[in-house]
Amino acid sequence: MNHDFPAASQAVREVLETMRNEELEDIFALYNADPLDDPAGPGTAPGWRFDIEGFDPIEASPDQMVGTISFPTITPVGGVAQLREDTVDEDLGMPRDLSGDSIIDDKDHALDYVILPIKVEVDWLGRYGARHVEFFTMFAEIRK
Amino acid sequence: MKLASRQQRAHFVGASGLSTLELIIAMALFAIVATKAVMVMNSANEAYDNDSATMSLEDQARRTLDQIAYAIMGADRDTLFPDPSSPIFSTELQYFLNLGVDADGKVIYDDPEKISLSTDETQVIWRKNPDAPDERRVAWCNIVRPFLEGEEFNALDDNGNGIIDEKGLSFVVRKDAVTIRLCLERLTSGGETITQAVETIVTIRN
Repeated sequence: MNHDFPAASQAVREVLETMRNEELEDIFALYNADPLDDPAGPGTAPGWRFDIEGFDPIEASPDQMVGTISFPTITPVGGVAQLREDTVDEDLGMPRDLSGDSIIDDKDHALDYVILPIKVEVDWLGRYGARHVEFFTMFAEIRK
Repeated sequence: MKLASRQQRAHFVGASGLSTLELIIAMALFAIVATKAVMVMNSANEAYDNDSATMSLEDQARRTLDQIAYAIMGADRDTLFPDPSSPIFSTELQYFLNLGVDADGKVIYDDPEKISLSTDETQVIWRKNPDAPDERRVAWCNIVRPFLEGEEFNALDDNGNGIIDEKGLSFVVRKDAVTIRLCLERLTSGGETITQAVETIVTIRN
């Protein structure tokens, strides 16, 4: 079990490094749960779930994968998840300005964010039952 | 009844101690049990040594991989040489660290650095000012396997990772991300060969 946490941490680091290799403006569309907004066409992006070799999924896993990537989103009734500045999530430092205009509003910023808070969780079945670990980070655009 | 009892006592008194046969059987049984116990202890010790050696090797592999990753992370992307894209790999990577900009906005670079395999391909060598008179050289690891685990020199991708005949240290670049693979190998105290392959991705920041 002690070996699992460093392995999960290493896997998450690789996921974050892979995400960092993409253009910041594409990351939300590439790694959110909505396959319809993928930049190269529906269903072409890696998406919000990932697997780690050697990790068994928990029973509640919807797709037999163990990792989840999420962003500060709010899903309106009957709509798709919106990247929102008014999301309340202390771990992600929300609410906060994501578009760089110094205003916290209730609009969807999926297309104009310059700061992107990211949460990565891993849920797996360890030797002594279900295990959970989560990591938080923030990507930002650096203008040279 | 009294007579029978006396006869029995006389019989036991006369037969005190162990016969040679009994002694031999007892010693044989003891030897069997002792041998079994020693064998169990030996195999337990061997298993412990192997586990311990495997964990130690994995630690060493991870530590070396992190050293390589953190060194490359601060490099300037445009200075990477060579620039191997999959399925081509390189066993060396030269780069310049970006130290910032001067008053005129010109980028200031540190001295060149290079991470590569040694000539005999068993060591990971970090060098500053490579091939210059004032070159500094540090061996980060000296038990690199000739090829990555599962790979053989046959012009095929034996381990199915998209790279052909990759060595024990390999770099592959995709956009700004460098995939680093490292495979170490050593002998345990019991003479068994153990192998540990590790891999990571690092995106160059500058």
